[in-house]
Parts: sequence; structure tokens; C-alpha cells
Amino acid sequence: MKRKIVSVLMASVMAAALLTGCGGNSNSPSGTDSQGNDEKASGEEADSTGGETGSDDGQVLTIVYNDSNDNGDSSPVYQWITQTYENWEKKDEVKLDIQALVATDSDYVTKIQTLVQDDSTCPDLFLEDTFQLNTDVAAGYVADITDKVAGWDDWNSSIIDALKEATSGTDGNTYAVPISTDVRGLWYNKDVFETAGLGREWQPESWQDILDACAAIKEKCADDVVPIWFACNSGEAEATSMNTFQMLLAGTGDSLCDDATGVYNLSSDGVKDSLGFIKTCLDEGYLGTLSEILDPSDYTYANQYMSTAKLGMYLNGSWGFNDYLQDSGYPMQGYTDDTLSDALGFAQMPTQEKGGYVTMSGGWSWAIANNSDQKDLSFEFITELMKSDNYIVYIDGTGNLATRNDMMSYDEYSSRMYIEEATAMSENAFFRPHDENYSKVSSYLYEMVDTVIRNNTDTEAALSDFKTGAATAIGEDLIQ
Amino acid sequence: MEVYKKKNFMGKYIYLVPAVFLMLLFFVWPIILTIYYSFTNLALTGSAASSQEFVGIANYKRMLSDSAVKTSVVTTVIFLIGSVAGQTILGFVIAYLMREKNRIFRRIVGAVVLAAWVMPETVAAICAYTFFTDKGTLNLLLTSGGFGMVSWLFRYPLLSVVLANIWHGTAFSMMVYQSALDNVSGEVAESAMIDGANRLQNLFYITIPIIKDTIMTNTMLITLSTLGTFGMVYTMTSTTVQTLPVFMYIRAFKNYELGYGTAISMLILLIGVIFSIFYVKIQSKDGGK
Repeated sequence: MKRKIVSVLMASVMAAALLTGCGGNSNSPSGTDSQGNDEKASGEEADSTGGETGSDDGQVLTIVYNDSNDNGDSSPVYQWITQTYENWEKKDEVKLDIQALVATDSDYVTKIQTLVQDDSTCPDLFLEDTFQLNTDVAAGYVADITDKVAGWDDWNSSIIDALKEATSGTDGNTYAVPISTDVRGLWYNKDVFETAGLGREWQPESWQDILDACAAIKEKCADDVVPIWFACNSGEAEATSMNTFQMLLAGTGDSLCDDATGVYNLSSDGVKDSLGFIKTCLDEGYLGTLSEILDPSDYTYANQYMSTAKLGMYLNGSWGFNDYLQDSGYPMQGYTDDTLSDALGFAQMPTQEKGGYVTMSGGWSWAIANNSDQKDLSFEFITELMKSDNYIVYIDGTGNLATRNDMMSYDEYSSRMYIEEATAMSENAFFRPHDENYSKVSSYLYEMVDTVIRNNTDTEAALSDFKTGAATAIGEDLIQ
Repeated sequence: MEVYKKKNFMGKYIYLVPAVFLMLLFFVWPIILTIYYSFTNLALTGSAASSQEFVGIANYKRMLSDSAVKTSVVTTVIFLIGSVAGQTILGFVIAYLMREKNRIFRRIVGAVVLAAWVMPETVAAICAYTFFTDKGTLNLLLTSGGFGMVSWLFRYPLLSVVLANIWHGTAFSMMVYQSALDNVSGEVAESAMIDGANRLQNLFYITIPIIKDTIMTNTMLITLSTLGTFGMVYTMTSTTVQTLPVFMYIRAFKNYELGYGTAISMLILLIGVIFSIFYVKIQSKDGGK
């Protein structure tokens, strides 16, 4: 008997040891991956700043940003930072440690959260998606910069007031400096639309118009032409939630969250209809092949097809056209940069029933980590970054809309393609809930959209799973 | 004399201290911490991240009512049984057939099987991905053979992952059985032959009973390592196949609920312990004879 107990005990310990061993291992793919890239990024940085005079007092600012397309040195953020640094009067005293995280947007969020938790890995400055800000503020990761912005002239005179809302916490204090905003709409390929008999200029007035256009493309174009594309997998994370689902929801008149009470309404007709629209596109065969739309990098397929007239429309952000420029990844076939607007249109997203247009606005910001011991220096660098001569590098490179009101004086910006359409859209802009729990609820939301597409789940069942999941995550009383 | 003995006894234990200390620090302490965290609302972000609280068995209660956990357990068990049975049987068959074969032949076949095993998990997973994906090798073979294309990773994701895992892990079983079979004395088989046993009877009544302990140990080892598999599953199918480690990752790092994630990891531990006890029981039943 005794022997048996001993052997059972030993087996348990062995199981635990093996499992924890494997548990440790299991994190390694993502861990080593991004870490490897860290090293690469800082290695590159060492190369590029190697020739400069180093600092004597050893002040180093650590800056983290996301480079989801792995653009390396040619990434707009990297160029923005290095140009600002070159123009900075403190260049000789301070060194920069620039770390690019090559990760999907959702992995970037997770990585930032793990980095800022610990003093030894915590960056001073990091790029933060504004939707993530409130929850990270609640977690105590982000420094309060209300006092600092108060004494900064540009903040009071140049940063667009409406956008300061996005970087203020639920307590009304300021936690980050907004650097970009964007709008979303339907990019469409005019050649495809012409073949489908829809004409070269198109503006849908209701969801039904979109579905009708899809049907026409499916019927009249070649079999390999995909009618419509939108982010719909959990790898795309926030894009699935915001660029797709909430773009639809905004057009139904229902809202996801009551900002006053923090209660999420997941039972509204709007939520059901939005999911219903996605499901209809799937059922009618308007979407691309499953393996491609469910790939976390599905946008590479979308861009490929759009640039070769194999895709009708793509629900995407105002930065979308950037990918089809001749020196970008997916140059529009048969057109030049000057004639791009003859090939590619940017239509407003209509409301569910005829009656207007909607869009969602988001954006990125610079935040200072609460664990940083160089908050003043970090803030000073932000003010340098936001000087319009430096800032134009970023705005021009990314295709995002500026958060400064004086950028129209730059030709690069005022003559940018589709800037008129984007500005018109921003008048109908909706924002994501200004709430601590939003990113949790959103994570269940994109899982739901993913499941519906992946497993062809019934929308009712998917919705009820979504509700239970969100309720257990944030509390029954906050879900309706 | 007595004193000397005692000293010797103490001395032995003093030498053990560093090893025991390291074991405690790197194995036992993390396990204790994980168990503790599973009773908290530890979170990656949000107000729970700044004010971590002890929440009792709330995470475990939630697990019982979470239908995704049930689905995940079923998926895990299928994945486990498929992988373990496949690896054990295939590994044994290869080892058995390679017995007493030409040295060069053994070397070549062994190297081919081992190639999959020596690859890091992620590399193996990417190889398997490129094999099963829509425009991958398998579909190329199918279409050139006149068959239709199958979207393996979306139609049969679990099957694809199980097959990939068998391919990746078979070499381990093969090596274990090779060394076990090498130790089976030829005389036993010979005398059985003389007594009139045919090859099959020889295999089932002589060889397998002799290496039974090895089979049990090997099965237990691969069960436990398969239970923790994450890289292979996640790399190949992202979130389609939600075995418990993948599900734990989603809850902990995608939904930001670390506390709930650690509670799920306790469930994985529990399943591991159950399987181990099961194997030990079977083994000790015969061992006690």
C-alpha cells in the first residue's frame, strides 16, 4: 500500500514538472519571436546611432512602437523618431533605444502590457491605441500628464480639441498625446464595378445597396473576383471589432455601451442585425475563401486582390490607399499614382436603412509609462515629435489624419489623395466606448465574429455565447 | 563507529541541499505561485491589474459554467488520444520492422524519422502548415493525382494537427522501443519458435510482455508532453483548434484575464495527474505480482 502511495505521489510530481516544463516552453514561440525582433531592432539602432556622439551621463530614452508590417527602418514611425532626434537640441546628451515590436495589433497590446509591468523592461514612451488607454490607465500603467500638457503651447493652440477627448481618462485627466486619427469607409475597385454594370462612381445608401452590389459582382464578374472583404478573424482583433462590426452597428442607431452607466447592450436589434449582415455575406458567398479571410494577415490577400482588380470592395480605414501606391507593397496594376483615383474609389458607409452615412474614428497616441523615471524628458521628446516639421514625416508616411489643425499648410497633406472624402466622413464619426471594460468586451466581440465565420455558427447561438462570455468577464450587472 | 555512520548520513544530505534548493526555486515555487494566482483576479490590464484580489474559487466556478471549457476538454482528449496512440503504434512498428536490418538501412530510415523530431516545435509546425495549407504540398499531390483540393486546415483542423503531431513526435517512441527491443534476448524468441509459436504469437506473447514497462513509461511521457503542446497547435491553426493550452492562452492574453487563465492551467495539471495515476495503477498491478 505504502509503495502505491509513493508511486502515485511521484507520478503527480512528475506530471506537474513535465507540464510546467512544457508550459514554459509553450510561451516561447511568441516570446522568442518578439524578443528576437527586439534584439534586431535595437541592434539596428546601435548601427544607425553608432557614429554619433554618445551621452556622458547615460540618459537613455526607451521608445516602443509597433511595426506590424515589419518595415524596419523604412517604417514611418521609425523615420519620424530618428528625424526628430536629429533635430533635437538634446541629441548629444540623450541616447534613444528604439524598439520596434513586429507583431499583430493584438499581440502588440499584450506585449506592451507585459513590458510596462516590470521596471527592468518598462519603456519610457510607447505608442498606445487610444481604445486601450482607459483600461491601461485603470491598471496604473500610464502616467498622468495633465500638468505637463497645461504648460505646452501647442497643446492649447494646435492639437484639435475634439481629439483630446480620446486621450483623456474617465476621470477627465490627460494621459496621452493623440498623434493620429482615421475614418473608415468602403474602398472599391472601379474596374470591377464597371464590369458588374454598377458604373465607375458608386455611393451606397443602405446595407441593401451593398448586398445588391455584391450580388451583381458575383453574377457578372469572373469567378475569382471576390465581391467584398472586411476584417473578420480574431487575429485581426480590434480591426474586426471596430472596422467591421462597429461600423455596421453605428449604422443601426443602437450603441454598444451606455457611456454614463458603463452598461453594454448586447441584445439590441442593432447587434443582431450587424452580425446578421456578416452572416449574410458569408452565406451568399460574397466573401473570399475561408482560409484567406481567416488568416490573421488576411489584409495581404485583400490588398493583393484589390490591386489586381480581383476584389470589389474593401471595408477599411482612410489609410487604405497607401498600400496601392507604386512604391508600396501592392501597386495598383495598370495605373500610376496620379491616376489611382481613376481606379480606386472611397465611398461612405451607409446606415442600415437609407438615411445617412456613418464612420468610426480611432487613433494612436504617445503615452508615458508610469514606471518610467524620466517622465519630464519623455514628455519633452513628445513635444519635439509633435513639432509640425517633424510630425509631417509621420502623417505623410502613414496616411493617417493629423491631430494638429495647422497641417493643411503642408502640400504633402493638403494635396493628399482622398483627403476630401476622409474629411467629409469625419463629420459623421462615432467613437468607441469611453470605458475601462471596453477592450475586454471587444475581445469577446471579435471572437464571436470569428466563430460565426469559422464554424458557420448560427448567429443566435454565437450571440448568446458572446453575452455569457462578456458577462463572466466584466460582471453580469454590466451586460444587458 | 556509530558516530562515523551518522556523520556520513548527514553529509549525504548536505550535498543534496543545492540541488533541492534549485528544484524548489524553479519547479515547486512556480507551481505554488500558479496555484495561488488561480484563486485571484490577476489581470493583464484594467483596474484588476492594479488591485489584485483573492477571489476564492470564483475562477473554478466560472470554469464549470463556461461551455467553451467543455468543448476545449473534449478537443484536448481527442488530440491527446489521437497523438499518443499514433506516436506509440507508429514508433513501435517502425522500431520493430527495423530490427536486425542492414545497418545502412537503419541509419537512413532512422535519420528520416528523426529529422521531424530534432526540429524545434515552431519549425516543425510551419513545415506541417505548408504541407496542409490550401496551396500546400498535400493539395498539390492531390490535384496532380486528379483529386479535388481539400481545405485541410479549415475542414479537418483537428485531424491535421494530430497528424502533424504524430509526424513530429514519432521518433521519440521509435528510439525508446529500439533500445528496448535491442535488449530482448534473441534466445527467448528462438525457444518460442522451437515450441511452435509463429511470428505474430511471438510478438504478442513474448516480445510485447517483455518490454511492457517501457511501453507504459513511454506512453506516460508522451501523454504528458502532448498535453502541454501549444506551439504546434497555435502555429498551424491559430485559434481553430482550442486545446486547453491554446484556450488558456486566449483567456489569459487575449481576454486579459490571467487569473482565469491560470485556473485553466490547473485543469490541465489535473488531467495530467489523472492520466499519470491511471498509468501507474496499470503498471503496479502487474509489478505487484
